[in-house]
Amino acid sequence: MTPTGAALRLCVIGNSHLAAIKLGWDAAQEAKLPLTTHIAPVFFGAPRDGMRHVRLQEGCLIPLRKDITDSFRQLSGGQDRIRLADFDAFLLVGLNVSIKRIMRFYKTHAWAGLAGSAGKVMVSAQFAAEFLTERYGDTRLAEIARTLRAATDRPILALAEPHWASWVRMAHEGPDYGWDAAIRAGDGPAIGAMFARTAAAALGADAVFVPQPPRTIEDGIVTAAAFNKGASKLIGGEGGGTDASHMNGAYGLEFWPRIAAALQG
Amino acid sequence: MAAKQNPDPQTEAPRPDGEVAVLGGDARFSAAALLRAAGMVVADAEAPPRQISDALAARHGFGFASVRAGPLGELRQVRQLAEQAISGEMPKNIFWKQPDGSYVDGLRAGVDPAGQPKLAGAETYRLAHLAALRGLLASAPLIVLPLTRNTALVDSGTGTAFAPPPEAIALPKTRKFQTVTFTEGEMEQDFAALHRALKGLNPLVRLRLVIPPATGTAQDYATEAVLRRLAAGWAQRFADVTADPLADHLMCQMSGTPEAGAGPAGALLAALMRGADLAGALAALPQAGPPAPSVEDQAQRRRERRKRRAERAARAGQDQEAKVQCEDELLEAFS
Repeated sequence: MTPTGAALRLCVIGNSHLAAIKLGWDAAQEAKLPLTTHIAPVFFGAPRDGMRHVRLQEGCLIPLRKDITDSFRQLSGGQDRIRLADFDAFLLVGLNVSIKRIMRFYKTHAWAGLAGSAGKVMVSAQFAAEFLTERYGDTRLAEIARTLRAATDRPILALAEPHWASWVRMAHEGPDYGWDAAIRAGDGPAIGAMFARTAAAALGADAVFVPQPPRTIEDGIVTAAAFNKGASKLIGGEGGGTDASHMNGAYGLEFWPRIAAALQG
Repeated sequence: MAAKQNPDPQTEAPRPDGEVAVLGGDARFSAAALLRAAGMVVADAEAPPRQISDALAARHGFGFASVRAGPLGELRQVRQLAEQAISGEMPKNIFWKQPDGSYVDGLRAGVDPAGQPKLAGAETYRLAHLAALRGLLASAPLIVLPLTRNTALVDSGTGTAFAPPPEAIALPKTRKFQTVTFTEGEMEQDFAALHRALKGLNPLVRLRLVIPPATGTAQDYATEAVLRRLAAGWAQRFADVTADPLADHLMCQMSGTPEAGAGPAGALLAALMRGADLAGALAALPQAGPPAPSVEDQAQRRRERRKRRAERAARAGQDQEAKVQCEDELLEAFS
């Protein structure tokens, strides 16, 4: 809530992972959660890495392509640009920050203390943290946070993309990021903690990182299947879907009390 | 030696590919970087992750040599390191507890100055380093040993030799250290032991000694003269050991201008390091570009091209699927 008592105008910017947060908001409204009277979100975004086609100009984030403009209009209910002055706070969602980067790193490197180090180059946890912070600093999430921070002093929060659904461990199709191997080695919690630490560090003072709610996480690095069920029409059901990366409204609902708390600060 | 031992020193680490391995190097002088610039394939048993920035890689000692062992450059330390890698054993008192409670590996203090929070972790970390080095030593056809010094910081109690640590690292107050200048006799013994250990593990290995020309004080020039005289003697006595002042000077010249590696100096250096004599290396200069690929190489390249095409096609399929999913997500949520 703003000092005047009006609802806090929250600009939510993201890629496809915005969907779960929006559906979570719908669920929060349906459940009449008190926070829904204090926050007034407006959603902007574009699928995949579409937000790279947006530039800051005269206090506005303006799409440079028609399809992104169309997406802004559709998601926000008619606005073709983000006027920063119209908002009291900003929430960035997804935008290419995911634990997959650590999983790729973990295939070839392990930091001291991890169990799954056979055949890998061992590095110090300090180095791993510096490297991953550097990598997460080179994402759309961090870039937009920097852009916003240079243009506004309003609070900026940031969420990463969700961990993939737990059933991906046993999936035979699609890329293998090594989820199962990491969990079997017992390294999931350490990898998950490293992700939260380095994603937050990459944002620095530009934005406050809101980590994935613990209730949604299994084995440190995957999301409980219940939060993936029905997330996409392409999903046939728990354990049998084709999209492990997107989550449903229940997942988004888990986030909103944390977002509200972070906004209070 | 022998406080701690790898439970299974015979467990082989991966054997990195490369026509040459380099032991020792830092930001001031990296034979590995120069040889890479000259077009040679330098093995890297402790390679950095992909996409690392140059600055971060340099800060953590990646790429200066074939393992992250610090500058080395002094025979006693190289001998110790090789013997530890081969035996899987570590000397006592090499981990230095810092005021913040962390443990720094004194034998490569500049590589990870932040240390490890626990002694056991520091030991495990060093054993992994030794295993990686062992894999390298077991497979490298040619090992380059840059030699720049004949002094080391020696623990008076254990005799272990260390490179001078960075200023930020505290030496343990319970140990006594002194800077020792090794005699020619000691260096003779160290080289003979090193040679024996390396050949015992990898009978076909050849050694190339590199003595970068001194550019500093009179003492530096005196040290260079000693090292150069010893290296020439070892090259005479051991059939599989070489030293070449011309290659050393080429490296020194290229050191400030890595782009020179792509030119005649790099081609000459690579030819000399691969064993050509000066006449042969000069004769090869007009055709200093890459040699014509053999039939096997061409077939291999075709196979790799096919594999890359197939991977690209598979990725394109995945991208298309991901594109549909990402757009559907938003359409569903906001419809």
